[in-house]
Amino acid sequence: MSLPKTIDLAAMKTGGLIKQREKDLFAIRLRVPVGRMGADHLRKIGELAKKYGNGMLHFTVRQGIEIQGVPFADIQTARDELEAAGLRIGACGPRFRVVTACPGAAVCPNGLVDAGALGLEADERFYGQPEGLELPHKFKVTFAGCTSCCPKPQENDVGFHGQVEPVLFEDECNGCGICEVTCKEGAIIMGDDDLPVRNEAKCIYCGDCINSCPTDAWKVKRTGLAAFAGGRWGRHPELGQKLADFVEPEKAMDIIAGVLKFYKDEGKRGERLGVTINRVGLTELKRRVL
Amino acid sequence: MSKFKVDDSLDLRGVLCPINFVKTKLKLEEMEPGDHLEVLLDEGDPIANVPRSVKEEGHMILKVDREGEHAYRIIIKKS
Repeated sequence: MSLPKTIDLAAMKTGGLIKQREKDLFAIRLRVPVGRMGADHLRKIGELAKKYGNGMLHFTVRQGIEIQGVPFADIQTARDELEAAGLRIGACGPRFRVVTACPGAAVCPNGLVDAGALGLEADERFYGQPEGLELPHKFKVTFAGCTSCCPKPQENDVGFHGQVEPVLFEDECNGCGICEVTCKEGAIIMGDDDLPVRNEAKCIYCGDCINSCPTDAWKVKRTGLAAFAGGRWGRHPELGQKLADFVEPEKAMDIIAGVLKFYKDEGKRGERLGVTINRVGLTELKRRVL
Repeated sequence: MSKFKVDDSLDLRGVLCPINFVKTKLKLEEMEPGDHLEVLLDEGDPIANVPRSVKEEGHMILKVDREGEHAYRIIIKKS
C-alpha cells in the first residue's frame, strides 16, 4: 500500500478515521455535535458516501455518522470535500469526544433547560484535544434537558440533566389534585384543606407538578442542572456520582473545565475518570471543582 | 362524588396514549365553551399525559378523583 502524496498525516492523528476489517478500507467518522444536522448536510453526506464509500452509513451511539468503505487512497480527497461543505471530522482515541444531547427545552415538551444549546457550547469549547489538555483516556460529556435523562448523563464522564424546584402559590390552587396523581415519586399528597403538600425528601425536581397544574399554582422557584461525574459504559460499567444540584446553566462549562483539569492532573494513562475518582475521592474532586 | 355538573362523559379506560387524548380533544370540539366533560382515565401514563395536553390546549381541569383502584375521573371545563 503506497501513501498518497497529498495525505495530511497530522490531520489523521486527530482521529476520525477508523480502519475497517477489509484491506485498505476506512470509515470516516463525522463530528455531529448534539446529533443535530441540517438536511443539506445530510444530503451531502449521502452523496459523498456513494462517491467515495460503499454507499452505507453507520449512525453511532454518540449521535454521529460514519461513512463506511472509503479506500485509503481516497481519504484525503473525501476529507477535503467534506470540509469544503462545512462538515467536520470526528474524534477517536484519548480525546474529548463529541458532546451529545437531547433536543431539550427548545423542542421537547418535557425539556427544562436548552440541552442542545449547552451541548453545542461545550463542544465548541472543549472538543478534541485543546492545547495542554492531553487526557489519560476518552472523555464524554452529555446534556439532558430533564430528569428523564434520555442521553444518559450518568453514563458519561461528565453529564448534566435539567431540574426545576417547584413552589406552590396556594391562592391560585383549585384543589383539583392532579399534581398528587401525576407525581411519579409520591412526593405530593393532598391535605385535608384540599391543598397539595410536597415532601422535599421524595421530590426529584422533575417539574411534573408544574406542567400538570391547570391553574399554574405550582410555579418555578429555580431551574438548574444536576451534574454527575465519573460515569462510563464499556467492560466495567459504573454510574456517575452526583457532583451538585442546581448548577446554573452558565456555570456548566466551568464544571467541565474543572473536572478536565482534575482528570489531567490525577488520571493515570489509560484510565477513565470514574477510576480516577474512585482512587482520589469524590470529596477531593468536589473540593477542586465546585 | 364530584360537586361539579357534567355535560358529557367519556370512558377512556383501556385506551392508550395518544388515542385517549385525541378522543378527548375531538369530544371537547363538539362541546360549548364553559361545558364540563367528565373523562375516565387509567393510572400511569394516561392520567399523567392527557390532563397536561388538555391544559396545553387551553382548557381547565376542575377536579381529579379516584375511580376504583386503577383509574381516575377528571372534570374538564372547555375554554
